Amino acid sequence: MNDGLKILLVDDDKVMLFLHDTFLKRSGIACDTVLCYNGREALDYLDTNQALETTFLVLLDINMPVMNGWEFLGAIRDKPYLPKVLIVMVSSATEESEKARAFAFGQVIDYQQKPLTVDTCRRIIGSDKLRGFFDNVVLK
Amino acid sequence: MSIAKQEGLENGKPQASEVMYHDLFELNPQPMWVYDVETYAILDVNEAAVRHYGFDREEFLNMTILMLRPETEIPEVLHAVKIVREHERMFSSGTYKHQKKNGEVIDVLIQSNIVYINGAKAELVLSTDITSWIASERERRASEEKFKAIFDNTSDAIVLCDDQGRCTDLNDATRRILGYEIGDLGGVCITDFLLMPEEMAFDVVWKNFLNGEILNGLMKIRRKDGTLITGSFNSKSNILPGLHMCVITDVTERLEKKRELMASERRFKALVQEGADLIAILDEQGNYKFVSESCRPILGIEPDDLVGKNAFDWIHPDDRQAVLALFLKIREHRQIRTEPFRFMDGFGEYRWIVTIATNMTDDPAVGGVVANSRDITDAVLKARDLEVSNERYRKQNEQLREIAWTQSHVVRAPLTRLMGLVDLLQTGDTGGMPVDMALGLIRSSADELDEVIRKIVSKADKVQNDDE
Repeated sequence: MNDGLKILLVDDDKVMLFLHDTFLKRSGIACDTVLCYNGREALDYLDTNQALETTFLVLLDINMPVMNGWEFLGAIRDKPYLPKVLIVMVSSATEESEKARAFAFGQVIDYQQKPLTVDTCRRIIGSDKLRGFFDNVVLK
Repeated sequence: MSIAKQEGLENGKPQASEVMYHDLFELNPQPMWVYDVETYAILDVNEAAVRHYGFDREEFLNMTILMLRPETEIPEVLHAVKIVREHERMFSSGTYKHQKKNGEVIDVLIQSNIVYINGAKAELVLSTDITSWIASERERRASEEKFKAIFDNTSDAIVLCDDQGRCTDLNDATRRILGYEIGDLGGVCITDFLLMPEEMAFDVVWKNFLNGEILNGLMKIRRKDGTLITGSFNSKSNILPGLHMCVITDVTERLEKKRELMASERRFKALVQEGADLIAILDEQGNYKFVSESCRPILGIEPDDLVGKNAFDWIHPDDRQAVLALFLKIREHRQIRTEPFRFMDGFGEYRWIVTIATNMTDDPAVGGVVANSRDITDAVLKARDLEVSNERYRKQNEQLREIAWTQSHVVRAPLTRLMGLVDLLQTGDTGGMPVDMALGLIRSSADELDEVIRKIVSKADKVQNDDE
C-alpha cells in the first residue's frame, strides 16, 4: 500500500462507485480509495484529512446532488491544501464545452467519460501528469 | 427824344426814305439799339428791345451797353468795342450773355454794324435771343450723347440698315456678338448673318418689314466666323427715313441655362414629387412650409393639409420629446438624423418614420429645414416579426439544448452503468457482487434508460407541436 496517495471516488451512483473502485484496484494500483457520494462529502474528507502527508487524486463526477462537481471545484479553490489535490473529471457528459470548462480549473489534469475501464484506469495512473506523484505506486 | 426824331425835326418834314428806315428800326420785331462806341451810351432803342429787356425807353437812353451785360461779361464787351473803334466799317457777329432788367441772363446772337450819326461813330446792334435755342441745342446734344452711349454700351447688338438691308452702322456689342467690325460693313447685308426660316422668303419679309410689319423672334444668327448662335431678334423700320434698326440679343447661353434649369427642375420634380421619400421644408419651429406630393401615397395626407401646420403635432406623444430635442440641435449642427419615430398618417394610424433634416435656412432658394423622411413601417414590422421568430427559435434551441443535456447526462447515466456492469461480467470476476445482483442492476439500468428515452421523445414531440 502507498501511504503517499489517496484516491477519492466521488459519484452519487453507488453502482458506478463500486465498478470504478473495482476496476481501479484491478488496474494494479496499490493505494487507498475513499468513496464519496457527492462533492460535499469529498470536501469534508479533505478538510478533515488535509494534514496528511499525502497527495489526493479525486475522480470527480459532475452531476451529483448536494454539491456537484463544479461546486466542488469552486469550493476547494481557496483551500490551503489545494496544491496536494489533483483531479480527474469522470462524467457521462460528452460535450466538448464541459471538457473545456473543466480544464479551466488548474487542478484538473484529465477528463474521462464513464464508465472507466481497467485500461482507462491504467492510462490515468500512467500519464505524464501523474508520474511524479505515483513513484511509489506499485503496478501489478 | 430819339436820334431819328431829332434828325427829322432838324430837317423839317422827314424824307420818305427816312420814314422807311425809321420804321425798319422802330418796328423791327428784333431788339435793336444804337450806341456810341466812344462812350458806350445807348443813343436809341427800338420798341422790341424795350419789350424784351424790360427797361423802358427813358431807362435805355440813360444806360450804356455795359449795363446790359452781366459783370463777368464786361471785359469781353470792352475788348469787342475796342476793335470796333479801330475800324471805319465793320460788321460783326457773336454770341454773348445779356442781362434783362429783372436780372434774367439770356444768351443772345449780336449782329452789329458801324454807323455814323451826325459824324459821330456809333454801332447799330441787332439782338436775337437764342437762350431757348441754346438750351434745346444743349439738350439735343446731351440726348445724342446719351443715345450714343446707349448705342455703344448696350449688351445687345444694334445694326442699322438701309432700305436694301445693307448694314450701315453697328455698335460695339455687334463686334462682340457677331464678330463684324465697322470696316466689314461694305456690302454686308442683314441676310448674311440672319438665317431666316426656310419657309420665309427674305424679300417678302423685308418688304413687309419696310411697310411697318414687325420682324422679331428667336432666330439662328451666323457670326462672321461661321459659327451659329441663337439670337432674340427685334427690329424697327424707318427709325429715320430710310434707316432701319435691328437689335440682336445673344440668348444662346441663356437658352442653354434655361434647358439645364428645366432639366434640373425635372430631375428635382422626379426626386421630390415622385420619389419614395417624403420631402418637406420646415421653418425652425417645425412648421411645414412645403410638402412634396409623395406625402399623399406615403401618408395618405394631402400636402396642402400639412402646410402651415406643426410637424410635431403628428408625432406620437411617446416619441415627440426625443424628436423635438434632436430637432432643436439643427441650429448647431447642419444635419441631424432621427431614430425611428411614429408619425400619424391620414387614417389615424401611426407610421414608423426616419428623417434626415438639413438646415438650409441660410439658402435663399430654400429658406428652411429640409426634412427627408422615409416610411420604414414595413421594415419595423418585419424586424418585430423577426424578433418574435428569433425568440421562438431561441426557446426551441433552449429546449433542444435541454434534450441534448438530458441525452448527455440522464441517458448516459444508466447507459454507462450498463456498460460498466457488462465489462465487469465479461471479466468473469464480479468483485464480490453476486451475478444475480449484477444482472438485476443491468435490468434496472435498462429500464431506466427506456424511461429516459420515452421522456426525450415526448419532449421532442412537444417542441415540434409548439413550433407548429
